[in-house]
Amino acid sequence: MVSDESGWPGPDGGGVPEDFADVIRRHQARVLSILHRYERDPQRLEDLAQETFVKVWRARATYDRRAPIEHWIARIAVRVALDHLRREKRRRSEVALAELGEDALDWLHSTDETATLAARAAAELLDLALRELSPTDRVIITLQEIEGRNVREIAATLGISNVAVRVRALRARLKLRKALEKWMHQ
Amino acid sequence: MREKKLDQLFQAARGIAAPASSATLAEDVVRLLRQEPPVPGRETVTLMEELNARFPRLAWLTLVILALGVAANMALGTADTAGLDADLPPISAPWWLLPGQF
Repeated sequence: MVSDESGWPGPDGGGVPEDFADVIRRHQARVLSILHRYERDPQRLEDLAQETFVKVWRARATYDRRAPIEHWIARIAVRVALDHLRREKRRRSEVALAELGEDALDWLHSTDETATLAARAAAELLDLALRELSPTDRVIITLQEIEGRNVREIAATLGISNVAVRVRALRARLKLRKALEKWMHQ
Repeated sequence: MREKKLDQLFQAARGIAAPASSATLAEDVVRLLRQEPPVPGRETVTLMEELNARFPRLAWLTLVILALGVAANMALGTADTAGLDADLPPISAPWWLLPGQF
């Protein structure tokens, strides 16, 4: 069993090689940084990370080595996140504003533009707003606005056109603004 | 206002670091994969298996019936027996071909 320069285990006799554990250790931080945008519960986040690496192993024959392995793994992680959001959407479609803490609600209702919100409370509020979107739109807006990925990268990751990404991102932003406005007046 | 609040939320979300994964994530995944039943490898395919895969059963049945028909025809042809219609007069015969009519 020999690893090549890409860090990917070479062909083996069929079992799961120890080298794959090294691949996981090298890329787990990146995978978690992607997945935690879509799931905040630590146990479920861990499950999603496991699911990602299981899929990486099963799909290893499709890795063509033209792109760096971290990009390929990141793409699989985003797809795992998307599947997770689709499952969650069916399970939990009701958005409850009452789930938010006092600070977030105060900030939301405040007209003071200089008012700030703690990062954790902001994340909770944004998470609630993002639940208003379809799973694909949520992934697009997260990749664009939070992870800073460009349209071409997002299109390649999700297997849709650049135009579709632009249109969906614009629509998603509009929907988020409307959600905020609705909550501000509640 | 809404736009500014939305941008503030995105800004805050960017700053949130991912939680550290458990120290055993890699071992857990490898253990999970090793517990999976191995995918059966491709076995040697015989000629009959290949043909069965390519031809549906109906085609084989048709071939068998045709072969039986050909064999029966050959067996009857080589046997020194009269045909089934040997002693039967023709039900109809063209009158102009009958001898002595003209």
